[in-house]
Amino acid sequence: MSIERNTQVEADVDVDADPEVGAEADLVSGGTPEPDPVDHLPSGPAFWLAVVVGVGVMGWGVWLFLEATSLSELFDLGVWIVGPDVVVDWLVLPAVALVGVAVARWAPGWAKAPLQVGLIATGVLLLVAWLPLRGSGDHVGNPTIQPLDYSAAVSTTLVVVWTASIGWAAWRRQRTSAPRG
Amino acid sequence: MSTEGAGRMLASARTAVPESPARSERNAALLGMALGVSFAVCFVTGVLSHLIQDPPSWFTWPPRPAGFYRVNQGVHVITGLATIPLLLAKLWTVHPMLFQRPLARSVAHAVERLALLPLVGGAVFLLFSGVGNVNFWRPWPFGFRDGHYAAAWIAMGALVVHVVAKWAQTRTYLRRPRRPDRVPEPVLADDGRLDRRGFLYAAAGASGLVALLSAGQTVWPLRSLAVLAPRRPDIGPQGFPVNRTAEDVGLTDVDLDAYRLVVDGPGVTEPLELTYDELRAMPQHEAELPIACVEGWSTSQRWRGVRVRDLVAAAGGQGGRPLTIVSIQDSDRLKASEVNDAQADDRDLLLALEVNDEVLHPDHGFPARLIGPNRPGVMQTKWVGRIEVA
Repeated sequence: MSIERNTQVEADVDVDADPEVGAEADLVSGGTPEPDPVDHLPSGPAFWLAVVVGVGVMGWGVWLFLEATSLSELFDLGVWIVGPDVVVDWLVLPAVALVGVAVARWAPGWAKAPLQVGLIATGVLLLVAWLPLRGSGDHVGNPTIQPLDYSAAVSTTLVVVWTASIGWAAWRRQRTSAPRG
Repeated sequence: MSTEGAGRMLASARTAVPESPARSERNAALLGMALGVSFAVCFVTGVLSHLIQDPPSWFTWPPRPAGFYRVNQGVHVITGLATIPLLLAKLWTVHPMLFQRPLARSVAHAVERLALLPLVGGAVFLLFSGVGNVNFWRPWPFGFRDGHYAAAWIAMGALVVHVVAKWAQTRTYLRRPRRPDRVPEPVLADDGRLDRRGFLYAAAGASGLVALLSAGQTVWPLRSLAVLAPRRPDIGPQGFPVNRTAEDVGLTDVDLDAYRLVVDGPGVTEPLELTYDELRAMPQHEAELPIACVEGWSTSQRWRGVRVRDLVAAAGGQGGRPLTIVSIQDSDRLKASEVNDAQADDRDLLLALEVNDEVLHPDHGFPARLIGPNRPGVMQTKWVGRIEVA
């Protein structure tokens, strides 16, 4: 049961329904065995208490920041908190979705999962290695900062990742094309 | 592009291609739990590091166990790095909910959704700024520590709201569904894509891979695998890294004839002024102690020098008084560090003159540096010229 389908089903389910009953119904129909979505809207004193505590904790963070800096820097911090959220929600994730759509539509069945795993590993590796790769610490003039050959390290890791992915894909292809019986 | 427009585009893309089976409520719940734990670990270790560096009056950081700070920072940085794939996986899983309409179905629902902005933005900024900081790339216009610390409190406040709002839902989806046939849930979907479990394994694998390729900057047996770490604990002058070089502070060639170590302050009766040779002539003590950077790398070395408590006693000072260790460099905030009363009396708090049987390299603080157990690297003051006894 995907999060996407969830929103459509929500309108038809009884809010108080036992989720486990739904799970069994799913199994009968051959779907993923996950409890039916139950509409949990936040409410009640526990939630509002959490809001009070949460706002207090956030306020403490703002106060600590203001104590050490200034109002204009607080604005900058706000930009740096909202900015990455916007970039991830409206740029990174849609771009990932496009790649996912391409894999789902055009890759043969035996290659889909190996491609997904290879792309996930590649994306994460490049994300973490991006700064060492571009020598972000060179300006400091301290040779103990980023002392390794990161291009070689990342290339080697990617070769290992993609060799494994291609090997997995080849194995899946052979298995799917092998005559049964 | 309007929100509705983008939502419609994504919706039509999903009509053409079946929605990713990886996006499931159970994954959202499991990844949420994992993130709750990892952010809590980073928060606790981060606040502790902050308190150690800027201790309030009620806080006294003990000198033992000697390697605790090393573990604290190692855990903080490695957990942070390993969290990157988990956070991205979670955001991917719940991304369609961004386009949920109506925007809010009650005031409480509106508050809960509003809290996602500081939660997601704060979480992303924390990981982004953490990675940037250890790689010496700080494009934000405020101090790293100020911003990272404030963002941690802001994200944790929003997390409190989110956890309570989602608690009942999370519990529902964490319940392992009953499978009458007892066949394990598949890893791959019918069309060959990763299914819910497969996606979860991939995210966990990516998280483990990042941790494995970085942990060697502090976990010695893994050092040869630390190909993504910005530091290697075995690379640098005399076999280990430095954060601030002698060239940086203009102390590549200290004039030993002019060098003096001063021990003074209200806590001593006979202030001392010692030459380098006089320091070397004093009883020397050896200790194996870690140098642990706030940026997560650490390494253990064999240090040799004069016990600080012996220097204080030679100046007629009482043991167990707080100290200020002042460097002869005055270029930045690393000029001085505080030693609390508990640490001041420790047998291994040294004014080190040697490391691994060699005279200190200028980058490691020649002619003399402070080294003590359970202290952050930024507080192991180099190029020491004065010890003030309170």
